[in-house]
Amino acid sequence: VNHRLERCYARLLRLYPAAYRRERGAEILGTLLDAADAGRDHPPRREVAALVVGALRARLGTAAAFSTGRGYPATLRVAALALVCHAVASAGSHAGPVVFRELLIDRQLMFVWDIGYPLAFLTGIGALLLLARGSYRLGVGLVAVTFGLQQWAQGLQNLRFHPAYPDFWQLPLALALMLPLVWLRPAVPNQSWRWLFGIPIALVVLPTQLNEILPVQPFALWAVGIVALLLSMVDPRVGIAVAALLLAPILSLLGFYYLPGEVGDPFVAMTLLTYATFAVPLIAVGAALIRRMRL
Amino acid sequence: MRQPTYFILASLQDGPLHGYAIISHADDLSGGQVKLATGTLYAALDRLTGEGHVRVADEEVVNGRARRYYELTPQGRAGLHAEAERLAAAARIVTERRPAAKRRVRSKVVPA
Repeated sequence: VNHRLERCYARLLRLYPAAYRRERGAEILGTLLDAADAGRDHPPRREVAALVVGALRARLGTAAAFSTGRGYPATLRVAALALVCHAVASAGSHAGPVVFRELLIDRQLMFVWDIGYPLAFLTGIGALLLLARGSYRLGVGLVAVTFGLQQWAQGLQNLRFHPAYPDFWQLPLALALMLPLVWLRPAVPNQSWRWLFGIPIALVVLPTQLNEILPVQPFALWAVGIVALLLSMVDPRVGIAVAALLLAPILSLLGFYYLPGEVGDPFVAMTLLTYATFAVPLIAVGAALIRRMRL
Repeated sequence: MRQPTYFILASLQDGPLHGYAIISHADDLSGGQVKLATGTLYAALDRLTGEGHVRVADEEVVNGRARRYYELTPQGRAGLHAEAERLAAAARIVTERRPAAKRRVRSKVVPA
């Protein structure tokens, strides 16, 4: 046995999740060493690439999601969860000033409907957990409640302008994606609570109210698009989910574009094009790869 | 069914095999066309096990390492046969085609 080669492979196998390594690590290492050419002390590049992709897929749960032909429902589920994450992060970015400035410091709400943001944040978290656990029927209900609270918080007197707001479309899109899940019921992985980590991530890397104090856009969004394109090759659900996230601001911008007085704004048109530049290839690559993920 | 999957299943037709033996058999059966990387093989085995086409038949320890033997399930065997029949039917369209009668090409007569 070439010990140097064995150490290289052992290091690469550390990329796999610990549970997977415990179950399969020794077996894979044995096969890797059996398959190695005599005298070789470095792993071949194709083997390294296969192990890295395999490890990422094991971490993302790709094999389980795409087993028994459940690729499309699993993709809908991830896209819906990503949209709810963004909506909750967005509600949270509005709720922060309401809770800390209006309720804790001023001890008075500026408008009574401002309380809608913290409420939407809480119901949104509940909806996210329900969806992540596979309770789609209840999750759909709570997403609808969250959407209602969000619209109330934004002021019902301007309802006809709401479709142009940057945080309007996430929940309606999530609802549209979730309705088929009530019947299709894709498999739910363990540790679904991990989706809660998506909220702070969405708060920083996706367009939210936080961007006013943390000027990371549009660079953060470009980075998300590029990373999603790369990760699509490993798990097509990632690309489709990010494309769904980009679809929400595209629809808002379209709403904004068609409001009186805003028609022809070149900045809006450019922003639309930027979102579409990532969204279109992500959908195309994701859809093509979902088909390839079959047996 | 994708080509690597077909040859992984085909290599298990005659009985249970361990990981390296599957790689070797798939290479032989495909005439060197399917050279599976170990990472690719185990990703495929995960998927095929999840789909119920393959299962672990036996396990032993060789040189201090676990070695698992995989075998086809009845569902996997049926899927493999269905795919083989589909490929054979597609091949017959070409191999059993009767040579077409030579078509006479008439040269156009252009009136003077």
